[in-house]
Amino acid sequence: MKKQLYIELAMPVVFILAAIYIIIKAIPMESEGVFPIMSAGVLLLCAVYLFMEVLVKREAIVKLEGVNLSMVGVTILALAAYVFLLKKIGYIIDTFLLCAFIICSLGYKRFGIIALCSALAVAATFGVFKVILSVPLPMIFLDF
Amino acid sequence: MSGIMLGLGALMQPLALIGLLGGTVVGLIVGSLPGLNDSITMAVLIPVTFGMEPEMAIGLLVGIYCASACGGSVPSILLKIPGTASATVTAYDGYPMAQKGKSGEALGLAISASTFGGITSAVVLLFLSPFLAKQALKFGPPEYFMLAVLGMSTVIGMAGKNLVKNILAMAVGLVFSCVGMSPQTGLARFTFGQVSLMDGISLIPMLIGLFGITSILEMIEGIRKNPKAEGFKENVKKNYQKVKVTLPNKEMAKRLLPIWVQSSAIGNIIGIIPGAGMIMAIFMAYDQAQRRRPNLEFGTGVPEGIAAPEAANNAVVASSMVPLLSLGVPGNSTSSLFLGALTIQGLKTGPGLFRDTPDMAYMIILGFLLANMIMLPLSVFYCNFLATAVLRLKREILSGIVLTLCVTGAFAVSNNIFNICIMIFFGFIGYTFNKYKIPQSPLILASILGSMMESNWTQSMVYANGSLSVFVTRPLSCGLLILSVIFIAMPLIKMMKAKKTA
Repeated sequence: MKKQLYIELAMPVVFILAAIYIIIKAIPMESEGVFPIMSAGVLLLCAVYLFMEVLVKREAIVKLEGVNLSMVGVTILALAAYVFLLKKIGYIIDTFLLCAFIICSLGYKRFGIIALCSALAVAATFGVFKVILSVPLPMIFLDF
Repeated sequence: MSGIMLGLGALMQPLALIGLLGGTVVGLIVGSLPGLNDSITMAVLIPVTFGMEPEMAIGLLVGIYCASACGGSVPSILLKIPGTASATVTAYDGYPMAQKGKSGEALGLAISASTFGGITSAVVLLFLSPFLAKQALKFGPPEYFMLAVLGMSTVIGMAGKNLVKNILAMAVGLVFSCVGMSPQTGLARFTFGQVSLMDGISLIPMLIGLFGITSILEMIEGIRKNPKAEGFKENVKKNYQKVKVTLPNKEMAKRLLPIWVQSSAIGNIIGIIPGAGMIMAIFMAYDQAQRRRPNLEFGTGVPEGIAAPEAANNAVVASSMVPLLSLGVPGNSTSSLFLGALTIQGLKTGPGLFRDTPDMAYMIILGFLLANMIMLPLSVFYCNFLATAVLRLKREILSGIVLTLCVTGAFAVSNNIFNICIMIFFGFIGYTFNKYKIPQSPLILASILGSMMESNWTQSMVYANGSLSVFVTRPLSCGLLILSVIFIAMPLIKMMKAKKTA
């Protein structure tokens, strides 16, 4: 019960802190800071209202039963790793690995098909973006 | 009339028709690829048009511009990833409809609404061009500011019971719009030392994150913990494979006609105003459709929820050319590229275009009309082919392909790896928002309108020496203010009435 309350309160708390941070940062900006202060002010008011509402109503809005949060975390980490590796191993290998990882993590276990589909997906995006539209994708090889 | 005949003569040349047909096909394809849009494609293809005959070059660009707005709805409906920013709202009802196994019907609704909106806007361009452009030029900073306020007030209309959460999401969007250079002096704000953030948060990676990454994360969260959901997915997949694009029947067309007309009118008016943009039009059209049909539960897969934004976004297309062709003032980024392409072909926009080269001026206008007509059968064919191919794929494999498309699309917007970071960030934001039942549409609308709002607020204050009376003393601004107040007050009054009766 307490855990659920903390989860519900996390969102308004994050927004309250973010709004306070923006207001503090915007005050020295003088006229440049008027619009951010106004926006953050509205955000602060709404977040405080929601904070109070959670405390008063004690309603469970966030439902985490059956939610595999660790997999969500792993996927976000995989995306972060993709960004980190993009310039190191190049678009083709990096995107192939990401695509294969996602298909695998969703529970598909036929590895031959996974490799084939990932390769085709990378080839298709490479063809459209790099070859046809000349988008300078970060490459290690096949860079032309 | 002679101008129209000259234009028709130029358009009926084989080269012009080939260009138009090719452009429509290219537009449909690029529109349905997240990360690519009409502006990017035109920017890439304008150098290619150097060596082309003017008729072919213009036909190609007209086709791309028209069809990409329609093509954007395809991934929006099938995968919940808007192919273009203008298809953002289509996903709200298109995707739930597709989830129910009615993807063919949803695509048919989008195509028919797009065609209707596109044709009306081409007619507006043909007959009302000079007059409407003059009206649009009466808009100054106070009017633009109030227009943004009007856009924001539609958020309240969409709120339902979640008024505070809607305003909170709107405030978050406004805060995000403050990132980057200040419109007043160019001072960097909230960029955290990132040069890539100097121009603000890039819209397309943000949308790809909010829709594409969020949907993948939501799919992943249910792995091995929700066997019931798998059964449902399998069921939906079976239904999907049987579906073909079905255009609305007579009964449905009759039901949707008022929505088509209303949304097209909104799109045409917004399109004519330089800088107002498609996003505002689609949100306004969706909001107005909700108001017109209060008994329907929007966001659950209602036909009106697809028809309204699709008619509006295609209505913006040709009408955004009104100020360009009549006065030489580009209405949005795509028409700016059009201006560049016309200049390359030795054509001068503005009143001189109609006087000196009436054949080309009317060819462009009639090109929009014809492109919208050929877009209908081409879209049906394209969607049948694409939808079948996409939906035959297993959900897991499709997710991998979608993610590949998302990361590549986010990068391709400005060839910047940082855009992928923005995409991931907004994917997480979208996922969290969904968990806390905070709507995303106010966030998107506010982050787009925020910068327009701020710069016009500043200019208005400078113009009026800091007096707020400027917003009520100018008739257009005052009219927009009254409309905004009505938009905000009406749902509040309804809520109060409902409380009283309860």
